[in-house]
Amino acid sequence: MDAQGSVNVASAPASRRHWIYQRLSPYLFLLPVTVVLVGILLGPTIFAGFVSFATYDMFGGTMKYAGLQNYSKIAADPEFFQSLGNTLVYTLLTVGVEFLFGLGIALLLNRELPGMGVIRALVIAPWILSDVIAGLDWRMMLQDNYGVVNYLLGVLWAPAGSTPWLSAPGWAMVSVVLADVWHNTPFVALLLLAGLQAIPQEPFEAARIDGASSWRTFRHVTVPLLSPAIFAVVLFRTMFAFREFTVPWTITSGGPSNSTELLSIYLYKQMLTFFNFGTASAVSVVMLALTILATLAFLRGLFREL
Amino acid sequence: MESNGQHTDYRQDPMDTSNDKPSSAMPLLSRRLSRRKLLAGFGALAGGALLAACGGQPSAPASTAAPTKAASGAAPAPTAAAAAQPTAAAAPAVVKKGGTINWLGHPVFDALTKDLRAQYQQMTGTKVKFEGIPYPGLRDKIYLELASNSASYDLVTMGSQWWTFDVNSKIESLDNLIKADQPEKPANLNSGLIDLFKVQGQQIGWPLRSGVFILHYRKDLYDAAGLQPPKTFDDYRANAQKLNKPPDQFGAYVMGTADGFASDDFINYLYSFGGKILTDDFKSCVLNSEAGYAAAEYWASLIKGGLVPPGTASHNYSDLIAALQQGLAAQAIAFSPYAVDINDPKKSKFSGKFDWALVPVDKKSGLDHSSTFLQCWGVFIPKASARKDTTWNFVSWLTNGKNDIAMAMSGNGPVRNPTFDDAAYKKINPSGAVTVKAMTYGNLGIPAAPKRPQIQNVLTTQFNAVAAGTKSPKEAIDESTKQIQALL
Amino acid sequence: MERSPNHLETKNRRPVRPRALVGQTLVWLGIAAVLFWTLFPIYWLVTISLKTRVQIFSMPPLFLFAPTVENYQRVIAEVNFDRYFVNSLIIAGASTIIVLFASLLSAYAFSRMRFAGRKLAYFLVLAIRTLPPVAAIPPIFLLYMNLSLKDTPLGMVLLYSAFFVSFAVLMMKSFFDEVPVEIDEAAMVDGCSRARILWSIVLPVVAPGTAATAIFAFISAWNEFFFALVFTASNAKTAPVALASFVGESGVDWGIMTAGSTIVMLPSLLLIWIIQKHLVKGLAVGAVK
Repeated sequence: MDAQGSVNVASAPASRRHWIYQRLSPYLFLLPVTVVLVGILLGPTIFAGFVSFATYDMFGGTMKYAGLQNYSKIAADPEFFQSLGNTLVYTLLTVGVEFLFGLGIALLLNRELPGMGVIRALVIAPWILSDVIAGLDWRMMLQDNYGVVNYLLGVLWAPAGSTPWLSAPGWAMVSVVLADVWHNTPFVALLLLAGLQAIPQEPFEAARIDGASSWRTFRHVTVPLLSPAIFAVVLFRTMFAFREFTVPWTITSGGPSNSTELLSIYLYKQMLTFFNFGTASAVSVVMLALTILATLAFLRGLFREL
Repeated sequence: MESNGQHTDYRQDPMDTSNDKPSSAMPLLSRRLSRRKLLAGFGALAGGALLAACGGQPSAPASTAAPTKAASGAAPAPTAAAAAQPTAAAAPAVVKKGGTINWLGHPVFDALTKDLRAQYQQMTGTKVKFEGIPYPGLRDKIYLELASNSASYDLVTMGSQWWTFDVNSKIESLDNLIKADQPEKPANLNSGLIDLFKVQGQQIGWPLRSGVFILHYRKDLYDAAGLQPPKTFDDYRANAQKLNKPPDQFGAYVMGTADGFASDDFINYLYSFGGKILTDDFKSCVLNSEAGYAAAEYWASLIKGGLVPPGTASHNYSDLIAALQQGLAAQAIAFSPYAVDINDPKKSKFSGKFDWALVPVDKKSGLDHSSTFLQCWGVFIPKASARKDTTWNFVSWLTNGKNDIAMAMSGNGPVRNPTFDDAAYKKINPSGAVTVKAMTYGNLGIPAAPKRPQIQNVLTTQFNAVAAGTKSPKEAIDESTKQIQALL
Repeated sequence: MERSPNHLETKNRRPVRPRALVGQTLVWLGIAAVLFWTLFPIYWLVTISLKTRVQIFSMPPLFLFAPTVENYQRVIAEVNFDRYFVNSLIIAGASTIIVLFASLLSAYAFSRMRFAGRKLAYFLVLAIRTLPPVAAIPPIFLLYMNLSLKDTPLGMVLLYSAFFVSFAVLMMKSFFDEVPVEIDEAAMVDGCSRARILWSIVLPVVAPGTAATAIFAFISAWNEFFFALVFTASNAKTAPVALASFVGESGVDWGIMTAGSTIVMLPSLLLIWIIQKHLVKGLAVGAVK
């Protein structure tokens, strides 16, 4: 950093150095992130790409070219398409609900009230629980026979007390979504809250002076100014929800009758239960492509912005 | 110069006047704000950068090459643990003492063997370090360790029901080790359990914790209703109906989750109806026998008939144990070691009220006894281990008569027959006599065919669907047969 | 503070009008509802940690019971929990530092600089992260074994840095984008280098965003389970993995697991509460801006 300080000196060689530095500095700024990502993640990604066109026997240590065999295998597997459908439903539901809840909570908490610091910390609390614990906690609460949720529902309205939260296909999806929403909404709210706080106050005051309704203010002032934060949150929640594994696995293990089997669970089975590396890699390549597709709208917006 | 998207446009709004002289206002402000904190953070950041540069960079070129290198078996993977102890080349009669044995297994063995491991260290100077990994993850981790010829562990624990033969090439056969260092009173070991880990005459693994499905029933309720332990499945259903008082007490219990328990549970019914999954040569699936259909219909009828607590598709072993401990189920066909848990006054409301019996048989099957799912945890020594003889010495000592009793007293399923007759053990687990009998009649469930995990996945998925009511038992059997046949 | 940053507060100082009162009541009701939703499952978790096994499964569920600290005694006595706790702290702390360092620099570059391959680089930083973690396990396992990084804190730190840095870049970029470019330009005219501008001018402005990014990185690493399960053993085992080992063979040991979870939750909760104040300070910055 000392060398950069000398840029101020307006001599001829220094200005040349300055020029080089100007051209190089973006890449220097990118160096740490490149090192971390390339060192750890690039290899596995390329590996997955290669193995998806091969059969790989981990115990014999042999890899054989298999063409498109792995892809045709998953294309013929109804379980793959079922888990794909489940994943889409799961992603849409969780991201949608988490965004709406998160925005509501962020707006609610974006004001000065006594004890707001403590309230915010408590609202964020579910997110700081580990996935496994969050999953097990909800499994315990939703358990059909001695779970507290059914008990409380039963007190309010007796028929609701025997809701098959975990054992009927539709309800099981509701349960895993519920647990995911509980676990991740605080994260969405936290980011949107940080976004809200970075917005300058003047536009709001101007809107107030103009006599704009709260809805119009929200629609025409808050949302546009918040859009970078909204963009970031929705993009990343979509990516995370699309590959979510731990919460649904802990709560339902993909059941009943595969109704909550997400692509990540399907992938997990192929990879680490059956040790079908070829097939599993094909699934991960498909997931990679689908994630990029699913976030394409966002990515396009991102490129326009760049 | 740089357009920042729509919000920048907004800032150019005439209302917004604060941007007039940003350069002077902002730094002033910033100096006030948490400057010191960020400074401290940055000092640490610099350290982090160093760490990233040293650790991250050299790994980059290796990352793509590594998998193929290890795959071809060229890299013997020297680790710190292995380097410390060169392999004993000859004369295994005197076991090398001292050092550390690294053991990877299910967390259940941690508490079971804690005192014994300390005792072994005192006796021999060899430390046994235990590493517990739960499901899911244990099998994945063991398989990754074995496949990559890792020398991190000298001993791994696998279940007879999920160990597949493709890892055998990475596991040391115990035969030579046994010859050099005989286990105590081999005749006392349960031969059925020993045979579980024999492949083509070679002893690959060694049994450590046994269990078999037996009938756990509430003696007090049976007596009050004047019932007898069931001999046939018809009796079992009749008894269950008499004890069925929903929603507080159900006549039976069935596990049905998609992570394996649906198939674990159903297998007991299948075999005791006289059915089977594969032919002995593993060439074809015979699940769709008459007995297979009958067993599936019966299994489903318990669920549909309301004889088990609602929610079967989400019930696993944990729920089953809790149901017996809380009185929600009056009886259940379940794993034998649970007898200790449901009989423990600290955990169970009905300690001392249980009794045990063999699982009934189907009348039409013509069997004179039932055959239930026999599972056993075995310990295996990886070929890559540098301390095979020491490890075997520990295993053989750990499973001697005295230690088998000691572990049984902490809830283990014994591997030596006389343990079941031990007076103190009988007190905490009175189910011993029934368990030993069930063990001799036990079956392996899904045979150790090459695609065993896939077969289990088919069965558990299909029967999970039956439990959820989305598939009829007939559909499940037909679909399972079709899919399993395609795997063979 | 000559000017209140928030119009609601200004209203508070005036005599309370009925409409404002209704508004205030609704706000508090909303907060109460949100708190019930977020806290009930945690409350339930904590009560379980204070129950005996028989009480845990009691039907109907017990709301009033004589609490026992037995589970806490057991988690401290039977498990080397303190060690795993320290491991988690070291690993999560170090990866947070690396993530922050790498993401600050690159996000600033993406937000402010024009250079060849900028779009591609940004795309790759985000896209590479879309590899499903399960798919990454076998190749990373082989890589780590050959480099002896398995079961080392360094290995986990690198892994977490790689997996959590993309999001941090995106977050930090959106925070940098919020800061008017004019600030940088003015400083450049004064002859400041890019690094200096980032360090002493832009960074303090985005302090709340940096804090949020740090929380994100820390908590993600603190809670990560699956990688830690596969890649660590006795040396670098983290707290969540230690907790999961209470899923025993005869059922989940709920008492001891919930007690452990409660202990693990505390530092994160404390951290959030402390950094929360930081975020509130950030509010003032936004207001004056």
